[in-house]
Formats: sequence, C-alpha cells, structure tokens
Amino acid sequence: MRQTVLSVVLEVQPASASRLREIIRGIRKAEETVKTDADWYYDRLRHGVPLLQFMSMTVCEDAQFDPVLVIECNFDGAPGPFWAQLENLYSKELRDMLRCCQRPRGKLQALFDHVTAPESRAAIAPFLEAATIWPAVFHIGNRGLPRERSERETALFDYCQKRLDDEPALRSRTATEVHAALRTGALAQFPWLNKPEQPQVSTAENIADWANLIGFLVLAVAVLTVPGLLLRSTFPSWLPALLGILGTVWAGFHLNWMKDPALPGLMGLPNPPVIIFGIGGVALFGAVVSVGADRFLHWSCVSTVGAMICSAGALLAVILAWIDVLETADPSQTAPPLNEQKIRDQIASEDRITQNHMISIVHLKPGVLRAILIRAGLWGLGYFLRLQARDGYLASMRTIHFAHWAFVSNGSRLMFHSNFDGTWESYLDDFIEKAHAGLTLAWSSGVGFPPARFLAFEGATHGLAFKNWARHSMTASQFWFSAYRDLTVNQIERQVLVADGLRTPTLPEVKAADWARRL
Amino acid sequence: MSETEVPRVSDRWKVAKEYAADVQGLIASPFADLPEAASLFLSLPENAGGSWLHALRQVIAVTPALGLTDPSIALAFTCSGLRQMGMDEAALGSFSREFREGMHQIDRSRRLGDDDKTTSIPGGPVWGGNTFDPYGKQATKTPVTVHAVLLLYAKDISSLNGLIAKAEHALSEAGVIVSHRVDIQVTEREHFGFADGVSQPILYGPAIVSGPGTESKWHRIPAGEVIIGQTNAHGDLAAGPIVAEVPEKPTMLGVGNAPPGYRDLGRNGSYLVIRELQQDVAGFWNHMDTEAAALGGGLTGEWLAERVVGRKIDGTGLLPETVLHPDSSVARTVNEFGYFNEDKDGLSCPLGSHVRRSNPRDGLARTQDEAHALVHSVNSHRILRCGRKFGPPPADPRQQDGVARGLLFMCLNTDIARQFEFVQETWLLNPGFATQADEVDPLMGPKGRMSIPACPFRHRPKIETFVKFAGGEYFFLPSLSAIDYLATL
Repeated sequence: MRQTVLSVVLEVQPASASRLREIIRGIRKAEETVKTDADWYYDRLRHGVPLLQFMSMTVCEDAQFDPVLVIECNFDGAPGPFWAQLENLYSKELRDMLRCCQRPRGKLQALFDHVTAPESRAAIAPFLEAATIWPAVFHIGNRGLPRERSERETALFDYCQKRLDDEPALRSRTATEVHAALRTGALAQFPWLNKPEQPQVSTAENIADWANLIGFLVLAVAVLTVPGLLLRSTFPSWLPALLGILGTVWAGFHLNWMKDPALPGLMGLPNPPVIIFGIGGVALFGAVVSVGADRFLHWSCVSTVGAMICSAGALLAVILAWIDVLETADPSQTAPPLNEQKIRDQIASEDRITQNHMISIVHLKPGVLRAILIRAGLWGLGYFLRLQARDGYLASMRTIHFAHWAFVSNGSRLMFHSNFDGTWESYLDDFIEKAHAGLTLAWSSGVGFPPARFLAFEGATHGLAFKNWARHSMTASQFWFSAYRDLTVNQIERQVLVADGLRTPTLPEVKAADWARRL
Repeated sequence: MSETEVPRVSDRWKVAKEYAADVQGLIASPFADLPEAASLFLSLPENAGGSWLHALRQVIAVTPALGLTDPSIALAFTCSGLRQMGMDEAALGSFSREFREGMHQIDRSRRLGDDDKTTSIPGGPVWGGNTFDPYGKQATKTPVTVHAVLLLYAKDISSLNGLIAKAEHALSEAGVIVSHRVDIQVTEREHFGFADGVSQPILYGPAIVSGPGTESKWHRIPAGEVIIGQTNAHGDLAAGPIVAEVPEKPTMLGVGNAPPGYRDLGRNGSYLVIRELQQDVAGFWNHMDTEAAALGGGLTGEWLAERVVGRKIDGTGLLPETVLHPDSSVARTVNEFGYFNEDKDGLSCPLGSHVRRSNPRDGLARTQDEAHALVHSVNSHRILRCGRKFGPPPADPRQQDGVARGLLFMCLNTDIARQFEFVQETWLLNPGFATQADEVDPLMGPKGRMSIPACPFRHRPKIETFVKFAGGEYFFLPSLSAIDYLATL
C-alpha cells in the first residue's frame, strides 16, 4: 500500500506574512470549534480528507530569506486523489493563502496566475501538484498501513478490550478458547476480518526497494572507479597507480593514521583509523595488481580492473581526508540566538496529544564536495531505510510516524519535518543516545551544527548544543493535524497483530498465548 | 530484603576531598542517620538582598559534604527568591529554562500532569515560587510564595526543635517569614507500607571517590548528572549559572567553567526538585481491596498494590522466583537485575507499574543487542532522590483517620528537563510507555486502567489516584562558596 510524503514550499510576500498566518490560524480555529454529530475535533478535515494521516501548514521566517509557506502532507495513495480531497474542502482558504505568496518564476508562473487571479475558480490542485517538493529522504513508521485500516483495527482492538473486561468467565479458558470466543463475536461486527488485507509492502515495492539500493551502490562504485578506468585507458598503467598511491598517502598523512583519537564504531563498523588503513590497503592492492598485470603478465583487462580498484580506494581516502579538512575548519555555532518568545510558542503548542510535530529549516554549508555528499548521503540513507525500517523501528526507536528531509530555496536550505510520539525532549534524547549517527549524517551539513567527524560521528552527541541548535531552527506550526490523536506507532503495529490473529480461524495454544499477550 | 544487602548511598561513594568542602552535604547523603528533620519554606521581604543569609549564618551553617555531622543543614533558592534578593536579570538568565520558569509555568504544569484536578489536592497546589514570567502566559499563582527552602536535620526531635527555634528567630529578625513548613522523617516504609528508596544512582567521576560495590552497570551515572560543572551523561560539562565579574566586589566564586569576565556560580551546586505529595492511605488500600476482589480469582489488595508499585511490600523486585532465588549460589544483590532477560512481557512486574516506569532499566529493548545500549540511555535520565515522609504512619492502613501524610519528594539533578521532567513525562505519564496504550502511572497519574499481564490474558483494573500534588518548585542548591556570594547581594 503506497503512502506519500511531500511538501509544498512557496515564498511569501513579506508584507502578507501575518495575513497568511491569520488565514492558517483561521482554518485551525474553524476545525477546532465546528461541531458535528460524531467527534468534534478536526472532524471536517478528518472526514473530508480520509486519505490524510498528518499535515502541517507553517509560515517560516528567516533573517536571510523571505518567509516561506510550508504545507507538509503525509497521506495514503498517490497525490492526485489527495489534492482533490483537500481542494474540495479548503478551496477558498488555499486560494487566499496562495494570494499571499510571491508569484513564482518559470513554468509555475502561468498556473499560479491562473489560480490566484481575482474571481478565479480555476482548480488549485494542479498548481499544488506542480509545486510539490519531494523529500530527499523520508521515513514512514507504519509503512503500508493506510489510515482507513488503522481506524478499523482500532475499533476491533477496543471491541476485544471491552469483551475481556466485561467477561471475566473467559479467564478460566485456554488462550485458544479465548481467541475463538473473541473471533466469533468479532466476525459479526467486523466482516472485513474474512477478507485478506493488502500486504504492507507489496512484492513490487519490495523488488523496487532492493533494486534502488543495489542501483545506488552500483552507481557509487561506478563513480569511484571511473577515474581509474579513464586514466588507464589513456595512460600507461603506472600513472593511475602512482596517482592513487599519492592520493592515499596524502590522505593518510593528513588523517595522521593511527594517532587519530578512536571514535565510537558506527553501526558495527570498525573505528575510522581502521577503515582508513583498510581503504589505503585496497588502493595499494589495486595499484600493485594494475602495474603487475600490465608489466609482467600483460593482462590488460586485469590491469584495468586493478586501476579501478586503486581509484576507488584512493578516492575514498581522499574524500575522507577532504571532509576532515572541511570539518576542522567548520565554525560551529555554540550559542544559537534563541528567541524566547518563539520557543515559548513552540513549547505551548507541544504535548497536547500523543504525537508532536517539528519543522526545522537550516542553511547548508557551502562547497562542491558537501553538496554532493549530502545529496548522495540522504539518497542512500533513504534507500537503506526503505529496506531496514519496515516495522516501525528506526534503530531502536519506534516513535516516528512520518519524517522527512527536503532541500528548499534552490538547494541552499534543508528542511526537516517529523511527526513523532512523545515529547520533543524525549525525541531528541532518543536520537542523541540511540541514533546519533544517522541524524548527524543527515544534519551535519547544516550551518552551525555541533562539530561532527566524518559526517556521521559526534555531532548530535553534544546533547545540549544539539538541542539548542535544533530548537533555534524550528517554528511552531500555525496548523497541524493528526488523523489519530491517541495512537502511537507501536499501538498501530500492535493492533495489526491483534487483527491478524483474529483473521486466523483457530490458533494452537502456543500461538494463541502469544497473540493474547498483545491484548 | 534486609537493610544490609543494599548499602546506603553514602556508603557507596563520597565526594572527593578537593570538592567536599564546597559541595553541600545533601548531595553526598540524604542524612539518613539524622531521622528528624524539617523543611522550612521561606518568603523574603521586598529587596531582601543577601544580608539575611549573614543573619542566618550567625546561628546555623550549611553543611558541606565532608562527612556526617549532627545537625546538618541544606539551603536552596527558587528563581523568584534570587530575584527578590536582587540578582540581576543577566545572571538569572544564565540558569536553566526550567528553573527560570518554575514548576507552575502553565505549559510545564500541563506537561507534569499538575493541571489535572484529580492529581492535585482540592483547590490546587498551595505553594510554589510564583516565578515572574516576562514571556508567555503567567504561571498559575499559588497562595504561598516560596523564595528559599531551609532543610534542617537532627538526631532527635528536641535538638531539631532547638535548631528550628534558632533559625526562625534569626530569620524573623531579618524580616524573613517561614511561610510553609513540613516536618519530615526517615521511616523504613513509605506510608502505603512499601520499603522505599531501594534504587539510587551511583555517581562516578573525578569529583567522586567510589566505594566498594559501585561497578553496577544498572545504577552508575557520571557525577555531572548531579553536580554542576562535572561531566554529564551526554559527555558535556553540566551547565550552570554564571555571574559577571565586578572588580570592586569580593570574588569568593571560582572561575570554574565560566568564560572570561564571569565567575562560575553554579559549580559544585545542583538543582533540587521538591514536590509535596499527599497520600490517602486508607483510600488507597480500600480501593486496592475492592478492585482486587473485582478481578476475582482470590486476588488480594496486597497483590494488586504490589503490581501497582512494581515491588513487593518488603522492597524485593517483582521478578520470577528463579531470578530471586537461584538454585545454586548465594542470592545476588536483589537490585542488580534487568527486565529484558528476566521479565520482558511483564508477567512478573507489570510493564506499567510505578517502579518499572520510574526506571525501565533494559526493559524497553527490542533485542538482546539493544539491551545494553538501552541501559546506558535510561541512565541518562536518572535522578538522585533525597525525599522524606511527612505525617505519622497510619495505625490501621484501611481506616480513614483524617491525618495529613505523604511524601516530600526531593531529588537532585543538573538538567531538570532531561532528568526529572523526562522521568515524569516520558516514563510515568506517557500513555504509550512500553507498548501500552492509553495508560499512565497507576500510582502518580490520573485515574485509569492498568494492564497487568497474566495468562491467558491481562487483568485491567481501574486504578484511582491517591497521591496528590500539594505544592512544589524547582530550587537551585548552591555550593557553599556560592552561598557566600549570594550573601553579598
């Protein structure tokens, strides 16, 4: 089941920023006060856009840029139906919001004019779709679980809880019998239990995930080996070998070999000095093979492969050393200016329901290598997460519903969104204590980030500095919507297990006992 | 469990010599050998300055961490107290946000669960710092404004009374009023009858001399979690307040970690969290009896209460018998255990019980590999408790006697948000804690269901609230040299 994570980012006419904020707050106010028969909270949006899971609308200010309007959407299915549902509900408000934005240049201009012209009734969805910014990397906690399914399974879960509370006689039965008793009653009320659900990750998606990651790795290897191939095909074998060894030696001297203080291992990998020795070894091996095969054996093919290996090792070593050069000179902002009022607004908006939301926009550090590495890093991280984080867990954390990073302002800024369970403080502490490497990799290219090493080390482990840095880059959203205000990522997965159990006609005692533990 | 099996905090570690004369004794020991104590909550006059500290010093002196002395004294200040004494806004701004805003700040009060009428005493909490809030909304006002707390500890009641009389006299001479007073004692059991204070973190680091038996992976935390200026669990120097250097003023404050032009006011100090929690003992036990009976199966009120608390009444962990009494060897120290290997699903100690929520150990891990990292993570959120009980123990725990009693909860930490508030919010009051849904701490939280894992399926009694918040605040517990500095204000 496909889910989509995207955002629309538009520059705002500075003079209209406060009007825009008022429009957005107006939507929020209407949603929070309109009462209908059923639930009253955000009911119009909940029923009007049944595909929607999480959404935020924020006007973000920055001293170096005009304000931007950010509409962040996390929903089920493809964008088309979603935008249509949203426009159907908020057409007037969205048009008024767009009128506060700057007229974009380029191919969006005509669409924008069309939508924002006085008295215009033109469809807004095509513009929003065209203005969509796709995430550089995203994470979905409950992958492949549409809201409609979670709602069904919540009702089923509540039904089971009520029966267990109301029927103490069940306690004297075996787990198998308890399962049978609940299933009999549930089938009448929840006939969908007899129909198969769509798999959370379809075969096609699974193949695509693997293909993407493999493709990425192949491309990475290609990029690293191509210089060797080109040099070897034009010059005698000693030249690429010599260049490779020189590069590796420079990198080795720069990194000071083993004198580098050992950093904590990253995801089971050995410490950086060991890695650098290993990479140096690969480069040397490639050089020896390339020259040896050429001079003594006259195996041109093997010599070319050797040159490519040498090239990959040497390039990696040089990139690591170059990163070190950059990181040593990087200024890190030890005391980001914290606007107390802004922080108060953020804190006042937090911890109202089970989940919280954060939006942060940071400037990116300059330089070609950085620009390439941050994009390649996020790209690869994204493919890795698609395979690795499928059961709600990101490392040992199971608190993130939807999160994404995206480049904005023509690639000069990095935007981060997250919809997570629990407090902001605990969310950041989780990263600091359990998943700092991934976070540092994604954010260490941000201007002012606490000092990082080799892109992924240290950085976010500087707890207080990191929290201050993150706080100062955040804005309290004027509008934020969660489709299920009291469900955690964990609870959604737990309900899936309960429902799966009830789909099965009979469970043997061991399995039934395991199933009953989820209740 | 006998007393000897778990050495008291003070036996396990000491503050190193070069720090001990400056660190307040309360950090090193809860003065368990001095069973009688009183907490005097003070209100200062307008523009109090620091001279009242001079007056107080004439009769009693704050106790350093040099070893046990009778009597012992601790002193701490609220943010409004320091402002009342004339500390400038720049210096006040260097304290942590939590301290500056106070426990009753409107958003904090919501996050700590104190805005829930059912978890506070009728009429709402009585005392707090009533901290001035220049931003955001005004904090909830409490009837009594507390500027400082003076904690007095003595061997017996008569010497305590003498001490109180001396202090009160000196204070009133200086125009300082004791606006709220709670007499507190050391008792083996808290008022519901449970052995208390079993799990305490064990400090280590350059400012600490470790005693025997301090290698525990379950309880070791760096000294910077409790003492400002030391390295904390995130590897940073625990941040504290600084004051600008004034050339003509005496400089009893060291430079410490302060930048040039400043003096380190926080060094060797700590933040003290105090919460006065009233306990309705008869209400609790009668409710436990009723709910246990409703569960059927011959379950007793004691059985349910032990699951609510997460320990047996005698303080033993609720763990499988095989863990508590291994067949072969001498039983290991009963507090050295995790949940991951012993009781992952909470069949012995419910996942949502108070003790398991207060310190989840490795119980939140998904795999064996994670378990170790999780202990490290959990130990970045520990607090050093030093609270005591107030009110007499009940004669019959099931009989309403109309006597006020409870716990004066006190704990020390250097990062209130990451330690005390994290425990309260992310563990105790988190409705999604450890795979649970819509359940909070059964002892401290508002009333609600509590899942008790069992076969074939969980019990889920409704537990009401019998511990109620009566007042509290965040205090700065300065070093002795910082107190000397404050006296010059």
